[in-house]
Amino acid sequence: MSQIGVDQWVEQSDERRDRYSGWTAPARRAFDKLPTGWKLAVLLGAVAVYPLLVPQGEIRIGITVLLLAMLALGLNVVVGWAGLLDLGFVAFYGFGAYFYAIVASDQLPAHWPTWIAIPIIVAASALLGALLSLPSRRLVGDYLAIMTLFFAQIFVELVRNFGRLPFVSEDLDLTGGPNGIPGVEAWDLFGFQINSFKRHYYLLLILTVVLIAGLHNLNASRTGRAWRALREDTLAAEHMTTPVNKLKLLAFVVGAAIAGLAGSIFAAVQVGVFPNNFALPFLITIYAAVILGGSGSISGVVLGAVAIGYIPDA
Amino acid sequence: MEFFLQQTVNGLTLGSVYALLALGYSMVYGILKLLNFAHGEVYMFGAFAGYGVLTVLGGASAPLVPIWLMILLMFLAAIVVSSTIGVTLERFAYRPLRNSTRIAPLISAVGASFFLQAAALLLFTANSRTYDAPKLIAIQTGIPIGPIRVWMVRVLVIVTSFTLMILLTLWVNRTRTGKAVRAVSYDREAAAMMGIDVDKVIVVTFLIGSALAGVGGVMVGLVFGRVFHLMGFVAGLKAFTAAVVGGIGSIPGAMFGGLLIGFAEAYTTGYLSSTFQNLIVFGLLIVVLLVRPRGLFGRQELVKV
Repeated sequence: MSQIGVDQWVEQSDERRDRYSGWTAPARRAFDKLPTGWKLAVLLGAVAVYPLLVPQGEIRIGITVLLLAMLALGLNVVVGWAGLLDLGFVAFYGFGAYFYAIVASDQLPAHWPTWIAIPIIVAASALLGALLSLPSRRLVGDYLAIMTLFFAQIFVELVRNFGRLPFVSEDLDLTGGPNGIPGVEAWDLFGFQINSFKRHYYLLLILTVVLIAGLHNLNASRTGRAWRALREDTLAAEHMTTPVNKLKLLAFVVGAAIAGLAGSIFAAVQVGVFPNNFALPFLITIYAAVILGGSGSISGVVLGAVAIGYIPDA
Repeated sequence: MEFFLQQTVNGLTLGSVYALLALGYSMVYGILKLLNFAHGEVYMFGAFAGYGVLTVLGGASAPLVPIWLMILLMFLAAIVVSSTIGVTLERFAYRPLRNSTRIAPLISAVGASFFLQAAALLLFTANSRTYDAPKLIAIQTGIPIGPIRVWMVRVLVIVTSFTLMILLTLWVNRTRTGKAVRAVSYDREAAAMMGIDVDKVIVVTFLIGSALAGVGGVMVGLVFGRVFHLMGFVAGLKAFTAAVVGGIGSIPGAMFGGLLIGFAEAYTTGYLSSTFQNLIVFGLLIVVLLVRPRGLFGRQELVKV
């Protein structure tokens, strides 16, 4: 194809420059020339000005997309990296949402300050994740999927019928049964109320960016490599003295903590929580985002979340 | 004692329907290693097919044909509709993804399930229908067992499903096609190399599993009356639990698991509370899986690096 001594890349540079045509061509050409960091900054800038340009309803869609992106990132740790088919993921989201709703509404009534509530919720979700990871020591593949699926089902059933449990008094109806918990308070960060769509959007955007950065580093770390080894072949990884059980635990814990955090924001955005928010169809939505984007890739699952979250509303 | 017997009959009825459904899950899993989430919807369409025949032939209060013929036609219609849907699903939702990643057909199954649910919603609306079986077969008719009298419909359900299970066992163990099914489920590639038409075996498996689900749908319609577009979800989940408890992929396991879940549900409803029957059933599943990770009858697979 190319002559000896002439670099193919150099040879085709004219062709590449002419790849774009039309009135957007100069802008796209300029974008291509930017270093990676600047490209990211441009993208981030576009996402950051988005709520300033669009009406309220559109910002709500943006919030949905960002929540879904956070969840997809969390699920990606468990499914995409560690390769554990966790169909109970939505329960952690529900747990975080219900936990926040219970401690930040008239339900108990307890009105914990947000800066205390959120760390506790994240820690509790992580603990629940650690608990769910215990069966993964023995169960593999589809059996793990089934078991976690039923964990999610039990969560919804429990939430729906909590007040009727035999050992709980009628007055202590923590979850409000099928009616859910209305009137959840907004986040209050040291006096700054996250009470509008725009503020929620920026809160989520900041958290998502931090999350992406953190996960990117985690994926490049020793742990990330070990997770991938686990995913490709658990048995082989174990023979190479990879601490398989510890890694499974860690994957579940990270995924659950992210889902719990997303849940607590969701409860505040929706100003209430209802059992059906955390049923099977939403789990499928998260999975769809992860799979559509390409499980295992951070940018992929974020794009998947954008597609899945945006299209039904647009 | 009377109450206990009553619950036992309930459990047996429920359990035999769950067993029929669980067989479909288990057979498909055994061969494709696929969780066919749309199976519950196949069952729902079977129930609607039975309802359609019943309505066309005059309804339960004024049947145009003898009752035995009516019930036979209902079962036949359900078998035809369900197995058609089952085979179509296999052809269009699962076969194209057979060599894809493990999770792709799983998601496709969930999608097919939603699709069928929405289709049923559009076709039959959200109203629930009733078979009105007590008008077809009077509730007083029945066989006395000790202090209780078992309604004829329940007898019919229990006898039919046990007959079908025995026939299926014989078919799998004694016929040439049954042998092929076992071979494919044991090792698909090796079976293909021995000249077994794997595609055909898979189609036959879907056909039989879906036909059983259709029969189960009509049975549920006859015993419990209500038929609606969401009925497949919970029943499918229960049957799926049954298949897993029994050891998914194992045929006797599915039957045993179905009966176990049926009894667990009947006794929970009878002695504890109907609110928690699902919690107890799902809890049972988790406990069984923790103790026996491959289900009660599942075989340990050899794992190689």
